[in-house]
Amino acid sequence: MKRITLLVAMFVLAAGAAFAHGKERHVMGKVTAMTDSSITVQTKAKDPVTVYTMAETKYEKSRAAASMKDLKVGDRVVIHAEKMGDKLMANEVHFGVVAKTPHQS
Amino acid sequence: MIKWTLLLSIIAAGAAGAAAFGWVTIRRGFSARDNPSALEAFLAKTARNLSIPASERDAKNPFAPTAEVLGEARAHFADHCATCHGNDGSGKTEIGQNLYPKAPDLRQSETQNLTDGQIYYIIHNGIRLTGMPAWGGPGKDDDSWQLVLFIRHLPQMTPQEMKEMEPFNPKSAAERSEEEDEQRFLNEDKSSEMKKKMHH
Repeated sequence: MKRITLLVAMFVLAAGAAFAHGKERHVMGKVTAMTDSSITVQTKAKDPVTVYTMAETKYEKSRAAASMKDLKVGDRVVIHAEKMGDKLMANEVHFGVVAKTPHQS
Repeated sequence: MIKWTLLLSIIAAGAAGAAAFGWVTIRRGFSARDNPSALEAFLAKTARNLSIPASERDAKNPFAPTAEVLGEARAHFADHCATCHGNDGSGKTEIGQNLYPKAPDLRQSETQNLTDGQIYYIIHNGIRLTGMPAWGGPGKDDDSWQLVLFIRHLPQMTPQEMKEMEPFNPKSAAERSEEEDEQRFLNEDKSSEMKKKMHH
């Protein structure tokens, strides 16, 4: 049982590493402009990036469910986005102060 | 003589049908992107259900769905199963949606209508030629029975419960590092405010 669990865990972790973020890009920066369907972020690299929102986009403020209305210009934001055509589409938008995530040992 | 001719005709027709099915299957290729045809899905599910012995199918879960058992099973599911099935059991994950067949939505009747014994058997023994591994060793295992209870609970899962599962989801060192970078970035304003206050 332990050997099987270990093998499967190794497969899952290897697969996770191969798949994770294969399509996603993480955009970090300060919000400089917003429309009903887009968020423009000034990234650390100083180049503004516009990410488009969708009905499925999830918003989290300090790890609690939120909405786009809770986000303001000037907020620090981390957006997990996926490229569709020539546009970046937001899957998840995180903002607000967060507590450290407890990790398993 | 007529009976033999009829029998041979039926066998020949069956063999021709099987050969045609095999040819079409091979010509379609073996990409995991496709969905199984209705016929393949029917045959595979029927074979799977027939392969589960009646004594196993009718086996009763030795555990009761207490908060403690469900909590343990929830963490176990998040750690071992959610990579393919998702924390909510929907199967809407990158791996789950790219397997052949795709990971099923465990909340739906296709899974929920199985007996406890059938679900246990599938977790314990896996399903050949799918992405479902055998999680159990020789003999019975408690973890699989507890997971059966959690799978029964999936249709009533709350967003809070799903949130509590996230720390148990497997992550690579690079993902953890990236997550820490993001947390640090989001907390930077708060840290600089605190520094300013201390300075004054």
